[in-house]
Parts: sequence; structure tokens; C-alpha cells
Amino acid sequence: MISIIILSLLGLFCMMSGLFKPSTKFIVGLSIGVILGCGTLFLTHWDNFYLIPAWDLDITYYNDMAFFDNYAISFSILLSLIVATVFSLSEYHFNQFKNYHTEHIALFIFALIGMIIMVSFDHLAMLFVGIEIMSIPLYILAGVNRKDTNSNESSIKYFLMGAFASGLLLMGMTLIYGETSSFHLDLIADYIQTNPAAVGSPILAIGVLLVFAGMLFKVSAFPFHFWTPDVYQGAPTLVTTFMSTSVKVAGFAAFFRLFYNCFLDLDGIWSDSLAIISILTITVGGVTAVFQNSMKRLLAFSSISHAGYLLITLLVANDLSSGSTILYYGATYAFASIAAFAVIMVVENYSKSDTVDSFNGLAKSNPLLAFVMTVAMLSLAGIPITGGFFAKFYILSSAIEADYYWIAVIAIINAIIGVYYYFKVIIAMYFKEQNATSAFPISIFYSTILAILVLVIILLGVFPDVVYSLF
Amino acid sequence: MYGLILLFIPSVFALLALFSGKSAKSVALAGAVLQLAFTVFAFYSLSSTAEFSFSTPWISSLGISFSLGQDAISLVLVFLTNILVPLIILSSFSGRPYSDNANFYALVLFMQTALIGVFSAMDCFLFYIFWEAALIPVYFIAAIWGGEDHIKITFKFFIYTIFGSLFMLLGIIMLYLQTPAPHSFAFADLANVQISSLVEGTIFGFFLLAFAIKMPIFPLHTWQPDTYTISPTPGTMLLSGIMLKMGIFGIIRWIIPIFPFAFNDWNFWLVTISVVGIIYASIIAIQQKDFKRLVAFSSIAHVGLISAGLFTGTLEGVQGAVIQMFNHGINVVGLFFILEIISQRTNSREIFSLGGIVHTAPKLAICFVIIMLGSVALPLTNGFAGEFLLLLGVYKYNMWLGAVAGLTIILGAVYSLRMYKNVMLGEANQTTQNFKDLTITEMAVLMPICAIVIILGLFPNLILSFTEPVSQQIVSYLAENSYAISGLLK
Repeated sequence: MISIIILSLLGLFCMMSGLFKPSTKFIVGLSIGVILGCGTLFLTHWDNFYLIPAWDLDITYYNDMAFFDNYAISFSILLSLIVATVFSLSEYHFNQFKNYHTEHIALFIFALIGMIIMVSFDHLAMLFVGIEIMSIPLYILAGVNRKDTNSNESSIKYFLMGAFASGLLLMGMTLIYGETSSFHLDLIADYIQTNPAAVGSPILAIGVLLVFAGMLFKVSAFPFHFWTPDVYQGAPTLVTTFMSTSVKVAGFAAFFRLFYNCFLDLDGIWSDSLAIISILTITVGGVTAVFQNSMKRLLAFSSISHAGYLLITLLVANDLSSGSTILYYGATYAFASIAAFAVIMVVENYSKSDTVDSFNGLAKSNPLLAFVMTVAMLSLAGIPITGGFFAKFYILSSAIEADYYWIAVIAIINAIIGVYYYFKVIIAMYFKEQNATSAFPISIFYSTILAILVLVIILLGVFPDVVYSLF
Repeated sequence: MYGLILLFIPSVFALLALFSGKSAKSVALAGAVLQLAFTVFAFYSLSSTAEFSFSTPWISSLGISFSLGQDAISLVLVFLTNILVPLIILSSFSGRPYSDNANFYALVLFMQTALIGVFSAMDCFLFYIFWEAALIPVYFIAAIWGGEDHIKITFKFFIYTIFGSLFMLLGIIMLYLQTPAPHSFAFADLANVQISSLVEGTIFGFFLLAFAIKMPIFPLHTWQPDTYTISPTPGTMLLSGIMLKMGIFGIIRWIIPIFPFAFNDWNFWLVTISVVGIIYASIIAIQQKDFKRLVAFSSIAHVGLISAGLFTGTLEGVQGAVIQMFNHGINVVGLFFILEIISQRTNSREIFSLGGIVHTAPKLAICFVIIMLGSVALPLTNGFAGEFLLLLGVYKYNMWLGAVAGLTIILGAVYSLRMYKNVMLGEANQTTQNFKDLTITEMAVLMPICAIVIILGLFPNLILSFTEPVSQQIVSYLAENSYAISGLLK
């Protein structure tokens, strides 16, 4: 809780400090430090000037508006880590956008605050506020490359579609309030449990479906995924990294928290559609990714496909272990994606292109970059011993356990399609003629972060229990 | 504990080789020889194979343990791996694009680690991890140093095998969820699981798909000839000599103990398909002009016979399969190496453009003839005992199938001898008249192979009597459909 306040102050400070033209290194370093510190502070509770451990305490804040249980704490820490990693890779971004670093960093931090609210809400209004705090900075960030029409398109598309989805969400919440006369998750859940008639109520059903659609938009699931590739491609790569990792994790954490706590008894309304949507999301994302030539678009479609896998966990949710799956999947997916985008940022910076062909022969000119990319691709494709393998494994076993055999089979087939397009990149890097003759100069700090990312991806795959058994 | 050391040596030397630059080949060879020496030492110093085993919890929330163990059959394959890897490393010492490449030797040793892991895993999940891990190094070897059109062909191979293994993963998870809670992946728990025949049949199919693609059994063999042909020879040796045994071993270790009912239900069709595969591959082999491709097809035929014998579930079939797995590994590696020598010196793989090599290279000719006769199963060579037992097993199982499978001896002699005649005998022509005989390094690779061909031809009981108790257990288990797990590891 105290972390949210500190982060808000940090955001305001960054925004104001633009007046004094501080150096990029100072602002980025300060933000990384504060964010990591706040990440640690999530483990504590501010109790009359004493910090006490908050793990297992289940504390509520602001009149039950926010609820920091182990689930919220784990996701907040994960999101802080992701954002800190993204900041540490911001070198090339701020070379391109000189003198705007204070504003960009401030916007990223505000989005982070929104995401933390999204994973800790206990009240529908809080969820909406969180989503908006997260989205509005992102609408701006997607368009920061003002002279590039693609970036403008990305921003306006994201904004219009996002505003529409927020409208759906708000409309749904109102209808739910109309039926249950509460915004609190506990009270809504109580109402549904004590009034069996509520299950058949059309107002509640429409409300839940509208909220459902709004959330599907935020996690870019089929059929609300059309904005994703254009927005991801048009936005500056650092913003894309941020959007495709932390936003997705936060979106799923919020989605699961809402549906698991409130609407599990109404699964008759949404579970069949969710089954179909998850399969279509995996398949549409995967099959379309096969035909992409731009790396950013390829990863955009692959992120849609990964969203589909994560939707399966919502479908089979019957205890909190599905939450663990989302945490684990989110962590492995996020770090592998960050590693991939980090390599793309280097290649894009030097070769001014993000096509798969621009990676040809990278293994000869830049073995480190090629290796990092390979580990990232292997993890995204779900090959052991990377984290991505266990992520897929948890999803498959939960699907089979819930007797969704057909979903498991379709997921397997899509995993093979996934191997196909992720290996296109590996093949380009290792087996094709090289087009870059000299090595790209990379700073030591940047390569250290890359090495740490590789280590994290592999350690997650060797000791999945560490993350999976958190709550 | 010894099992862990066998995994440890190649992985450590792989890392050493990776960072030792120009001297990588010596480091790799030292590692592989140390591994072989340790295997022999462990084999003679231990009173029972149970002492190889090692177990420690790995991912406890899922019931996964890092558990290794050996029985006589897996020990035979561990031996095969550890004999072949030093020979494969030695065979790539000079004159090839990968000869001085540290990555290449590291990949071979990583491959060896994964193979030993596959042959010793007693936890199904661990088995799957090693199974997948074995694919990555050989894929990179084939794709980096491969011949014409290598990207497309190796990618087909990769997707093909991943397809099979992902379905096996599905089967493993289904099986795992059938074990009593808390679930477990341990071999003993999986073998004791009670499942309905429909579920058993389905999971059996998923496992069989993965193993059949790896071996490969007709009609899932379409990746194999191209991949064998374009891979650099060490890659082909790893694929044909050791990797395809993973599939056969998988049937012995995992399918028979866990799905005996499904195995008995389906074995007639499986034997029939295998026999069809033998004839099909032999006929295609006869028509090949490229000798590497010819050996690739002959490998399908030989593996078809092994799988036919194994699927009969007779004692002769199982014993024959075990010894023939070993023999085929030795022979096919020898053949591919000889063909590599010839094609490197003449720049040709065309059977009909060669000839007369015997005049200038008598040592090569002698090694070639010994290994080739082993591969066509002439009496007193190693192939004879294996193929005889396999054919006997198939014949006992079904007379007609046995008769058809017997054609393999004739067809095998046709394509092998024809290849030998056209490549080695006759008049020397422009490409072959300056052919140099074997160098010392090449002799060092081929002499042990020829020695094994002859020794196992004279004394097949060296392997047969060692594996007989386990094979007997498998056969009687299949007959009774009840299985004493503890007995397998003795």
C-alpha cells in the first residue's frame, strides 16, 4: 500500500523534474531503484510507523476497496520486476527520444500504479480506476513517435478501441450493481450464492457478459484482438515490450481475480463461450503468426496465442492453483518476451528494420544476441528446460484434469504451430547467410541484463516450484 | 549413484569443450573415453544393476523426482552410446568443416548426456525432458553442417518429432492424472495404475506415435531418408546409431510395462506394419543410386525387423531386438563412416560412378566387407544372431509373416552386395584411381567396429545371456498381464 504512494510520488517527481533537465541515467536509475524497493515493500504492511510482514496477513485498505492477499502481493512484485527490467533496457528508446525521458518514465510509472490497483482490487470501481490509470498513459505512450504515422495510428486505434472496451466494462458493472446492489466482490459473491434466482437473471447475465467482453479486450483475446498487431507494431519497441508483458499479466490477474471471486457460480453463462474463445484465440493467433515477416507483428500474434492458453486457466479455475498457473505463465512469458524484444531493440537500432530477415546470420556476427533470442524463442515455444515448458505443462494438465480433452489436443497442435514460427527466427539466425558483417556494439550493462534474463528463464524451468507454490 | 556420474561426465566435458577453442576435439575425446572407461569400470565393479540407481525429489508439488535406474537392457544401450560416441568424435577429427569447431563437440557431448538420460530415467517426466533434450543438439548439428536444402529438411525432421513428442506429453499427463493422489510420475506408480481399456488404448497410441516417429516405423518414416542423407556424417551416425534406439527402448521400458493389454490387443497389426515396412524399404533401397540414401533405407528395413520381433512379444523376438539394437548401432555407424571416407575422397556418392577402390585401398575394402557382411547378417558376424532370433520370433508368432519377413535376408544381400560390387570392385576410373587408403585415425575408428562385429558374431551370448532374465520377465509379464515391478530392476 505504502508502495503505491511512493510510486505515485516518484511518478510526480519524474514529471516535474523535467524542468531541471536531469540526465537520463539518473532518472532511469532512480526509477529502477525505487520500483525494486517498492516491490520489496509490497511484502510489508505500514502499521503505525512499524513495517510488519504482510505475507499471509490479507490486509484490506481504503474501506475494503483494495485487498492485499498473497495473490495481490505476488502479482505486484512480479509487475514491479517486469517494469524495472523494461526500464533497464530503455537505452535505445531514450537515444531516439532525447529530452523526453522524464515524461515517458512518469507515464510508465503511472501505468504501473494502475496495474497494481488492477491486481489488488476488491471493488469494481477500483478495477475500473485501475484499468483507466493503466490505459491512459499507454494511449499516450503508443503515440510518442509523433512524426511517424504508424505510431499515430497505433495510438488512436488503441485509444478508440480501449475507450469502447472501457464503456462495455462500465456498462456491465452498472448492470451488475443494479442486480446485486453492490460493487464489492465479496458482497456480489454473497448475493449470488444466497439468491439462486440470480443465476437466471438476465440483467446479471448481460452485465457479466459485458464485463467479460471488456476484459477480453484488455487481454486481446479473439474476437477483440484486431487492435493488437497494429498497436504493437506502430508503438515504439520499448512501449510494445511494456504492453505485451506487464499489461497482459495485469489483465489476466485482474480477469482471474474478478471471475474467480465473483462469478464462479455463474459459469453457466460464460464458460462455454470461454472454451470456444480460448481455442479460437490460440488458433487465430498462432496461425496468423506463421505468415508474419515483421518480428514485432510475429510477437504480437504470438502474444494473442499465449493469451488463449491463459484463458484455459480461467476456464478450468476451481481453486487458487489456477492463479498460480497464471502467475507462473505470466512470469515465464513476460521474461521471455522481454528478452526477445531486447534483442529486437538492438537489431532495430542498428539495421533500422524488424523483419525476420534482418536476423539472418545473427549467430555469426552477434553470438550473445542470437543465444538470448534462441532461449527466448525456446521458452515461448515451450521446449524443456525453459520456463515456457512448465507453463504449457501446467495449462495442459489442468485442462486434462478438468476433462477438457479436446482443448488439450487443440492446444498441443497449436504448440506445434508455435514451434514452427518461433523456429523460423532461430533458423534465420543460425542457418541463413549473414547480412550484418560486424558485431553490434552493446553496452556491458545491457548485456548483463540479457544474461540475467536468460538465467531467469532457465531457472524458472528448472525450479518451477519456487514460483508455482507461492500461494 | 553411478547413473548420476554417467550423466555428469559428458555434460561437464561438453561445457569444457565449449570453452576450449581449438583443443575442443581432444577435450571431447578425453571426455568420451573417460565415460567409456567409467562405464566398463562400473559394470565390472558392481554386483547388481540396482547400484546404478539414484533418486532425489525434484519438483515435489508435481510428484516429479530425479530418478535414474538401469536394467540389463538399458545397460546394453548405455554401453552402445558410450562406445559409439568416442568413435563418432574420433571420426570427425580432420578434414571436415566441423573438425575444429568447439560448438560441434559440445553438441555431441550434450547429445550423449541426453541419450544416457533417456536410457536411465525411471521417472516418466524426467524421461520426457531428456527425450526432448536429445533432439535439440542433433537438430543443430544437422542444420548447421548439413548438405543441400538442409534448412527445409532438418526443419521437417524437427517438426515431425516434436509432433510425436508433444502427443506423448499429452499421454504422460493423462497417465499421471490416473495415478492415485498425490499424483506421481514414477515408473513403478505408472506401471501399477488401473485404467479402463479405452483410456489405456488412447495413451498407448500417443506414446507409440512418438516412438514410431523416432524409430521410424513405416509409414511415419518420411522424414528419415532425407535427413540421413543431408546430415553431416556424425549427425547421421548419432541419429541412426543411437537416437532411433530411443524409440525401441521406449517401447520396452515404458509401453510394455504400462500398457500390456493394449500392446497385446494391437500387436498383430504392429507386426504386420513392421513387416510391410521391411519389404517396402528394402525394395526402395535396391533402387537407390546415392549410397548414403541406400543405407538410410536399409536402416528402415533393419529397424522394421527389430520392431516386428519386439512386437511379437516372444522371447526370441525380444532378445533378438535387444541384441540387434546393439548390432545395428555398431554396423550402421561403421557403414556411414566408410561411405563418408569414400565420398570425401571422391566427391561423389553415386554408386555407379565409382568402382575399383579395392585395388588402391585394401584396408578399407576389408573393413567395408566385414561391416557389410555384419549388416547382411552372414553367420559368424554379429548381425546373424540378432536377425536369426528376430525372424524366429516372427515365424513363431505367425508363419506367413515370418516367411515374408525372411525376404529381408535376400533383399538385404541384394542391395548391400550390389553397392559393394559397384563401389569397390571392377575397374578403377578417373575418380577412384588415386584413392588413398585408410589413415591411422580412420583405422582407429574402424578397427574396434570390425572387432565388435566379429566378436559378437562368435559369442552373441555376451549380450544374450546378460539380458535373458529381463527379456524373460517381459515376455512372461506380457503373457500374464501382471507385472512384478521390483523384478525388472534386478
